[in-house]
Amino acid sequence: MRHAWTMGLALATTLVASPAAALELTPPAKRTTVADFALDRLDGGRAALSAHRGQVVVLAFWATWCQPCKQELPFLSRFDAADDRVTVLAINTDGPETRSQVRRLVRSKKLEMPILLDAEGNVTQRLNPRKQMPLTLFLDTEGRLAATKDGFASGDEVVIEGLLKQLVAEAAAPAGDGAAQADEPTPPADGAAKPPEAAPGPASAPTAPK
Amino acid sequence: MRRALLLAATLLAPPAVAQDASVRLNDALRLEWRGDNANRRTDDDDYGVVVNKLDIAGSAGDLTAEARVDAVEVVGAPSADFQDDARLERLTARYPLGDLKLTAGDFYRQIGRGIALSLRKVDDLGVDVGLRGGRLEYATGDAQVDAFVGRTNSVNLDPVSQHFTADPEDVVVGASARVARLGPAAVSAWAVQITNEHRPVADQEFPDRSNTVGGALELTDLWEAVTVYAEYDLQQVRDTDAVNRAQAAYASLDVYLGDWSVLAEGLWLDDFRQQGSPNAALGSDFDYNQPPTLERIDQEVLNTTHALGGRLRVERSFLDGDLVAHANGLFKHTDPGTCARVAQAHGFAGVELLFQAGRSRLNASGGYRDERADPVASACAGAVPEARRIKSMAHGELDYVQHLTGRWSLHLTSLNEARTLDEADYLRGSTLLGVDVAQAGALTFEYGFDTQNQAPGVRNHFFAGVAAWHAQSWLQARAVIGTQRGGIKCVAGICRDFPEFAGARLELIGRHDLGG
Repeated sequence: MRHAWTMGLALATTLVASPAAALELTPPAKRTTVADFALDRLDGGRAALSAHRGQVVVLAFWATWCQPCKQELPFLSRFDAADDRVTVLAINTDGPETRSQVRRLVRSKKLEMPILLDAEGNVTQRLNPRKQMPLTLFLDTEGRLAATKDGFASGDEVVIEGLLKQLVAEAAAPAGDGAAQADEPTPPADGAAKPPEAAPGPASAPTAPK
Repeated sequence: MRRALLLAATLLAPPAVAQDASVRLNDALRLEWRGDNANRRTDDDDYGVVVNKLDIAGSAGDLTAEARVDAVEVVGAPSADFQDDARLERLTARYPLGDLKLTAGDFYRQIGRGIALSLRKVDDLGVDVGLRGGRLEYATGDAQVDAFVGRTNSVNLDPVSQHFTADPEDVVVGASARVARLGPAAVSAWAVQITNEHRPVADQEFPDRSNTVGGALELTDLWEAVTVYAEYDLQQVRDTDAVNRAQAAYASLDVYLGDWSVLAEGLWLDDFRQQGSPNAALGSDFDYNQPPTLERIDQEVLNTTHALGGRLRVERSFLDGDLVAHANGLFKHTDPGTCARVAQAHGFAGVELLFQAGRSRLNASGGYRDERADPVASACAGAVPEARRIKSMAHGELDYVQHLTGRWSLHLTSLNEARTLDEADYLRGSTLLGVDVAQAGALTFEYGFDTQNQAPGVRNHFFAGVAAWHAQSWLQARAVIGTQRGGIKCVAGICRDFPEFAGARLELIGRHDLGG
């Protein structure tokens, strides 16, 4: 057991001494397309991922029993509302035993983004096979996976905002300038407005949440 | 193993070479050494285990496919229940044809609120049962219809006991239909048949079988304030050649009045159970349904087959949703109307607070739960058992994250219970104190205690260090060293008895995207 504790100390030292593993966007040429799916919406009807092509899409896996999820969701809701070019699809994974809690939580936290229901877990199995909660996927306007973020810790909201800025800027930049930064507000690209069923939000630069 | 890899490669080769194809790998490797966990058993001590789970998800055009290969190697196995194994555990392909969608291979299926069917993955308990077969879905506008058939396929390495378990292979056939947006209403109907592979009596004429039909009505946002869900299921069960009837109903009512919300739920299970074949790891038969429990998600639930009860939750939000206060009350009978009736009551309340612009959080709750034998005298064949308290529990929970600066925050989680079981008192709890560093990881110290078993040599206090490290954007590591308490762990009414842990565990999770 003494060796185990020594190993633990070494791991701890590594953690404290290591810089943050910066969460960066995958270069566009190396991104893979996320296959389309459709799920029931909490407020009725169905929602398909492909309906949001042309927008930066955040797929956020969450559950009502997940405390970090409940901390992350209000940030995501603000980012969703702050820019028409960004859509957050919050994929709820609650089973039947806690399904009745979903609507209540969404209302009490005043979450405005579309809430999709994946109680069966078939979409979760494909995109989040380890069922990590929360898990946040960032898709570019072509529907390609640009980044994946595991968990949520205080400070991650800055990382998320940075990624969204980069993705919005990248979409607005001329072809071949995918590394553009979002220093200046950029107008929505043609066809990039949110579909009518998504929660409408004021058009503005994806800066600090409102 | 070679056959499994070949199958996966065969399935995923077309996506890998197609122009618009993508393949995503997600690999979880667990290296574990278990020493003496001081539980007075020797058949779960002093061995090592290496478990690798590789998920492969690919797509090409409209075709999507997933596969999972599980492999386990045991070093110094203390009993014959441990087996080295490598197999293709999951294999699925999906293809849309206009409004139709075809699924072949392994898939999960859940109907309504899980009363009629709930085949899915409950990671925390290592329960993962899917269906291996086919499913055809048709969706147009607000109408959906599906039909499915398959044999139940469980994960063969039980992550709790590390033992190998065989697939139950029960046959499930079903169909469902749902029409939404009928004004504020959505209506669903379904039918499910389960035929058990296992025959409890060797010479029984027919296999055990259940036929279930049911339906649900959901009214959403009536007057922008009220949501109602009601479900009813009727079942005919043939059990060792005897035919019985069972039924179940569940209803919930959500009411929102400004910052107030009220949730009322009612559940009635009249001997209702979707029973499958026996499972060696669970030590019981599989249940292919998972009805609502009305309880907290991690509550030990006595009986999910025969119950009648309700619960009420009242909630008030403040500070634009950053502060939520809630109070909950539950009363339930299990085995209602029988000599074995048990009355359960549970009240708890708490607050959930986000502060420092959402960067810090405080969730605190506490309550009291009581279970009493409450026999119905007229239903007792002989002497009426004494009404008595079986169990009680006073509990308190805290989850507190204090943002310090930049990426750093302090995290304290504590769950503590004062319990009685047949009038014997004991304490149980865990406290974790750690530092979280966003995008770097976390360092946590864990202390646990369980005073239930006071036999000499049994460990009552547990200490562990937990380190989580985001090594790269594609690689995470998590290490646990020390001892962790075991005990009954429940998720949504499914409970498993976890052995105490003593040793070291390293988990590595990696992700790779190929093609694009």
